[in-house]
Amino acid sequence: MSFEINPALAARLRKSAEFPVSEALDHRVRTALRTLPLATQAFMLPVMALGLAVAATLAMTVSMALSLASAGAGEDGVLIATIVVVAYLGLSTVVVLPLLLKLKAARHHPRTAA
Amino acid sequence: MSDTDLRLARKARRGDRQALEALYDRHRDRLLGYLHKMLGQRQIAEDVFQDVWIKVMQALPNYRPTPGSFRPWLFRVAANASVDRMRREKRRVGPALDAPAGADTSERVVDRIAAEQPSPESESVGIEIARDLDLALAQLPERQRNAVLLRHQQGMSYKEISATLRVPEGTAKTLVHRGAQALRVRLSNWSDDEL
Repeated sequence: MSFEINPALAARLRKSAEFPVSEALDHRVRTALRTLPLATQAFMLPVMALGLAVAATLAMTVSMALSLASAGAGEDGVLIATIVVVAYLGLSTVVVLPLLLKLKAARHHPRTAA
Repeated sequence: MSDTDLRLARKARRGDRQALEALYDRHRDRLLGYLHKMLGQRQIAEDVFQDVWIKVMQALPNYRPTPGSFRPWLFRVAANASVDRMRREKRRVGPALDAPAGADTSERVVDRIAAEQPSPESESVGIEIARDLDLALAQLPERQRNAVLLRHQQGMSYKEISATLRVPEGTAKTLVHRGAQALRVRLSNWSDDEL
């Protein structure tokens, strides 16, 4: 099956590939490009989520270590609990981050009609 | 070519208006050529052209620049805007080409297409053929017209067409093939030499 078109017709279509933009239209579009507010870059969801996860990990670790220390736990106990919290939150981030990246990628395309 | 687009698109996303204008300079004539053939009327094509660049400004933050992706993305925005406009026009004047072009005129839609100012290429070679071609294109279903224009007017690869229309590559090939076949039938009264 040939996907190509009659060469003469194709040549005729190619000749119409460029249509010169009139001065008035060019001026209107350039004015818009120069003056209309540019939409700011989309919310950096995954970066934000990662930042929050790191901050939450640190906060929870410090708070738990302080609680355990004030309750009289030994150094080993505090260390083990710290490792458990860091590992738990770290793994959660590893699982959640790709999902957030996929979600962001899905929003990256302009609407497709038809 | 696409590397330049990539570099400019990255800058434009960061709010660099000069980069945005450079992208406009690189693509404006081709985009208008596509819209002109897609929509059939210069005035409508120019309206949509302006809308497309405003939409580009709004959608840029959501566009992720990758090599060779700017042109399909830009033409996708244009294709969507054309389809929206064609549907609005259809609701306004009716779907048939022989329908009245307006409430206060006996002119038909098809007459308006034929009376359009000829495209630059038609001035040197048969205005009649150019009008028949415009008419034949106007009679194609939107998706086929889109695919034929992207392939044979804009010279896009099937991969680019598939990215522009967001269809699988096989579907893009089928759309181009069917559209080309329909054009051939509608222009069968012209020989290859005349074309």
